Amino acid sequence: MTHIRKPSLSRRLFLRASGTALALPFLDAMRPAFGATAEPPRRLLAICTNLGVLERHFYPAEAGRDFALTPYLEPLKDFRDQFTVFSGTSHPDVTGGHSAEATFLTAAPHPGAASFRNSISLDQFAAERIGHQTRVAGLPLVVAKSGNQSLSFTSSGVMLPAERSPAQVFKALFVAGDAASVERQIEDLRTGRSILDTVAARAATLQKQLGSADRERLDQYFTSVREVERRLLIAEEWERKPKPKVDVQPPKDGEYLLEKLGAMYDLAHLAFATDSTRLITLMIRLDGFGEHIPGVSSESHNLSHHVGREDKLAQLKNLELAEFRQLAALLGKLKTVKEGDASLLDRTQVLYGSNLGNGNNHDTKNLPVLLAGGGFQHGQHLAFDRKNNYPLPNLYVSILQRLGLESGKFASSTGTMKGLELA
Amino acid sequence: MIRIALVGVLLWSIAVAAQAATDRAAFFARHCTECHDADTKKGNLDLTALKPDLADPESFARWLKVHDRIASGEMPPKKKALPPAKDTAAVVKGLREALLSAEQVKLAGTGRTGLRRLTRAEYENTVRDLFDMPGIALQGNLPADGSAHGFDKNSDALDISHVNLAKYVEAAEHTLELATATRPTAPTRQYRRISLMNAGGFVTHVVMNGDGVLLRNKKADPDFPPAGEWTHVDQGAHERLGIFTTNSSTGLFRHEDESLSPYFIEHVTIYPGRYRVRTSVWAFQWDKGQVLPARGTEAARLSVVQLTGDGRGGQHPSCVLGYYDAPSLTAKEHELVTWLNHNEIIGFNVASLAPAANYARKGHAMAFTGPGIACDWLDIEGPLHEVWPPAAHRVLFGDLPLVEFDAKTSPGVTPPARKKVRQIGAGKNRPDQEQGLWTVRSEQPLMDADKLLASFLPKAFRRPVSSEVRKDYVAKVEERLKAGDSFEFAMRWAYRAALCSPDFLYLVEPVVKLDDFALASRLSFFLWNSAPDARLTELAGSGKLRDAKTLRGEVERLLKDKKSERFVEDFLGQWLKLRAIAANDADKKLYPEFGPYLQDSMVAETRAYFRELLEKNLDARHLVRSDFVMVNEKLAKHYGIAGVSGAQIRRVPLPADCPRGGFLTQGAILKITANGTTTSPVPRGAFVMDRLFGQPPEPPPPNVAAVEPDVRGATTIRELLDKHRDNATCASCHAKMDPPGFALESFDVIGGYRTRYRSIGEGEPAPRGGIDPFISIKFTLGPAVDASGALPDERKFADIREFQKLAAADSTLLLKNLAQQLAIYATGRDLAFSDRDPIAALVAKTQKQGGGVRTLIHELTQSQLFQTR
Repeated sequence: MTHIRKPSLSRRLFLRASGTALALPFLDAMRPAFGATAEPPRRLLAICTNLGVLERHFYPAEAGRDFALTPYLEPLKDFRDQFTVFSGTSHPDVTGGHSAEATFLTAAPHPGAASFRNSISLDQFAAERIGHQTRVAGLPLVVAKSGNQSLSFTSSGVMLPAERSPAQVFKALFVAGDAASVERQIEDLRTGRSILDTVAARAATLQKQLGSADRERLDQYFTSVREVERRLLIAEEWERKPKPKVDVQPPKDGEYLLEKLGAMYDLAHLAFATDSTRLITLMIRLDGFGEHIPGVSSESHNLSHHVGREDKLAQLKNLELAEFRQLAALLGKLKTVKEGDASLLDRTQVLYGSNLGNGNNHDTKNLPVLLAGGGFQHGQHLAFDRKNNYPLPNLYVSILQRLGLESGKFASSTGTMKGLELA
Repeated sequence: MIRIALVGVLLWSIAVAAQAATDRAAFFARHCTECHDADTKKGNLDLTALKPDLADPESFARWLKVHDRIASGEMPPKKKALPPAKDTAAVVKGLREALLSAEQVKLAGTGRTGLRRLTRAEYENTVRDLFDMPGIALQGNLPADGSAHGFDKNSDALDISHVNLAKYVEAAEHTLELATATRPTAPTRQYRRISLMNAGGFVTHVVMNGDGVLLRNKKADPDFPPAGEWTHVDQGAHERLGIFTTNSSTGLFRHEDESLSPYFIEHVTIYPGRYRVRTSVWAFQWDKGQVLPARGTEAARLSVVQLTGDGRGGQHPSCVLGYYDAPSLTAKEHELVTWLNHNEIIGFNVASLAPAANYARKGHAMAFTGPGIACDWLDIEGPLHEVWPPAAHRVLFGDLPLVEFDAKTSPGVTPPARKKVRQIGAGKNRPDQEQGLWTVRSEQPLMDADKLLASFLPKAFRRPVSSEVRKDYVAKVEERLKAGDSFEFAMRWAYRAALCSPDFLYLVEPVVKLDDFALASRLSFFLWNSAPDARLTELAGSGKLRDAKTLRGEVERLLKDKKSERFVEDFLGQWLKLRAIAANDADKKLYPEFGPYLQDSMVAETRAYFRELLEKNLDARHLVRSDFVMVNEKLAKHYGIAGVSGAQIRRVPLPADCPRGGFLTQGAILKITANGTTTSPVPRGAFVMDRLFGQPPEPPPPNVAAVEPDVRGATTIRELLDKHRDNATCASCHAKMDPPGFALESFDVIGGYRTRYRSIGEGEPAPRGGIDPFISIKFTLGPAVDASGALPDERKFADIREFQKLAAADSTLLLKNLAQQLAIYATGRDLAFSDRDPIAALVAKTQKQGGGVRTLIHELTQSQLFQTR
């Protein structure tokens, strides 16, 4: 399955010769990996902004294809035929206000409950099947003041910490070390593996002394050890392969919301264009942000509890509009990169939404959801019942199928997304 | 013969059970199924279809609810003809026995507490204690733990994945690198006196913008006058003159914010370790160039700041060291010893001042009148090493000599790799000169390895370690040595494996009764949130720990130790959700007086209050009511209590007219249960029911719209809720849930007392009250607050004080809930139906001795509940 890719033509040389400023290796001649028969890869970027989106500025009034652009969709007008807006959808039985941040991509029921257990997220479900084809199986990212909260969860419901620093991710993906440091890195990976080998042996001995319930719990440890070992082995293989070269300045981490968000989108674009990964999640944790956003002077979480106040609603609109403008910029970038006869956007599904339908009262129904690109017959507003919501996991099944996976079900899905057809 | 008798008993009991089932069916038919049948299905309960299969968890839960509702007298409802008490009792008894025996079958032969790994807080504390590195930062790099039944200590919340494992490998390596001594002598203890004013720092703000001033002899520094209409000479000129190394004090008016960073940047920690920090601060009133006596004692904050990386949370500041009194015109010195990690510096903030900024003011500091805090200097000394090599190194390598590595005498051995030590940023502290490559030497590597591991492994694994297990590790050391590792690296390899092994990461407990070592661990992870120390392990080893008197003594010892503060912090962080204190910022227009100092004081209050309950062994009524509060000046002003000066939290008698007392009315609780802008009786009521009364409300039914808060019109949240409650489905739960919230309507989102709501826009002008005169007020007074209500049993209350009285009356309820919360936290398992009797017994025993919280902890640790899995 794994494509072994050898650079057939020095990209840097080629780019210097052609004088292109932003060097992206996706001209056909430079892509031996996919050959004549192999189809170019399909990808997913799933984004969740965590405090809801004001529906009055988001949902079009009309259903179907002839809808008028709303204030939030206005910045996306150039891509009108390349996105679909969904209203009246949500995750069945997902309640619990902010705690639903953990279930935007998992749809596990009742995240606020005492006995809640999360389940696998959309991206990881795909990563388990197609992740081995790229240097990084899946890339969970977060824009936040602090912490590493992510949208990605393993099959046992453990959160995969998200990367908060675009500079660090850039370094890991694109900055190659010298031969000695590669050797050192490989040696470290091997040491890691041999340590894990020892502890796995110990766990096996220990398991024999335990009762059945404990054995099961320790089995989770055992499996995890084997999984890290497997990953270290893959990492070692990748370590020997040259990293893709990109002729762009490494991103700065930034301090304020918009620069952080912009840097993450640039990074996502770069990671896709170099086929470093095909699955990215981005959690936008707005809490604490508010500085250096035009027309915003208060903190975001506070604004989301606007309690109907006009001054807050106006600021909140400015904040959310700024997010949509950034999204538009990303779509623009994806569209400019050609991949065969299509653009990167045609092969990249960009899911944008929130875990809250209404940030003001923590409602988890009627989630704002938009899907752009990826190869669907877009350009419509799919409107479902706002009282009796349509299951959002159905969209996730459609997304998985579009990624090329033969999946008939995800979480509480009842089928594929009604009304969303392949392009 | 015996067998026949046994069969007889069995048959008899089946017959009795059958009779009970018939009686129960008759009881249901007569009193229940009118509403709870397939047609009406009130509360979504159809008793005619409810399966009697108690092995099924779902139907068990439903039958348990049926039992509870009938037992509490809630069902059948009072409006209906009530069954004879005898019949009710019989049904309750029958159900209870059926539930108990079903549970017995389910739980037989298994440990109730699931095998679990350490939480990340436990992991960090355990490493800190094991290696005597009290500030090493590890938690931030480990994935967050889940939470089950209110706490993260439950095995259901502590899944493990490849992510955790990979991070454990990294954390172990980081720990060992820090613990290993790699030089013949301790890093030089450097001493430096630092001015807050320095060439590379925020000097322009002070000298040119007037957000601060330079002071000398309690006057404006004549050599460097404050910024006035003409801002001061340019910074470059000063730097060339080198003037910022003079002994001026720095007076500050403005808070630390995104563009003002008052940090002592001339010390940037190179060598992690303990440092002695001393500072001299005082307060003054600034009046356009004049230094006058201050309005009172102000508070300065010292914090640890890490400008890059996620070390201690990755925020500025990463961690607050404390708030320190700055008295009027008299310098006060404060000293502390703290651990500093690589790249950490000390930050300063004028915590108690209202945020003021002069940079945009015409005339700058010379046009400003207001309070300021002056910092004379900060002394920093360290790293402090009493012995060398340090304790951490001795844990790993005992007394083996440190020698210079010699490639000639060690052919084929890879020299141990070292990271280069560098000077960082603007720090004037320098790394010591390179001393060459030093490492431990062993003449008999395998014997030493065996000896060192024999000492290390039991400490790390918290129990005796068999020689077979040890041999495995020694064999690995041998393998590494053969592969060319130095002795140090071969050993570190084994230690790393040990720190990633299940023996270290998991609490391994015997199936039913805890053995002595497991008991020692349970005790210390309960009261220290960390591994047992040498004494506890020793007592476990000699089999004395289980002795009631010894155990009591140990609980006392653990509680008296400073490490028990971790218990207070961790337990309250989850029981009362203190971890969520910063989940919302208070609305700046409505609550301009809110700030970090107030927030930190709130958390300190709640912790100090719990500590006081523990120390004075006060009873559970104090959860909701008390005749004292634990406050500092900031909180006292916030609560309207006079006569408290200074930043330290202390016990203050509650004035007769003050509506405070107990956790119920503490700022932290009131803030956590609000959203920063508005309060709602629903989440607050639910919090009180769940966290303090132990009666968590049912989750809202699906497809019911949440109440949309609104502060525009004259509609109060109560009026909105009243509408909601008109709906009969909503009313039954809200009647229970809302009353405590109604009583708490007297407190705003930051815990201030109110008789009228604050509002933006229309309304009457608001009086300033206790708000700092340097904070401008933009809010107005809205509708009046109604804090009255009635409990489900129809007892009425007019305000918070009457509610407190009613709530405090049921001290058994309060104590029982606290017992349950502590039991879940300490044992790491949810409570089952069959735990109810042991909990009740625990509560009764505690009450017989006065009902104190400390007594409760003793009774809990002595109980079977605590000592079994």
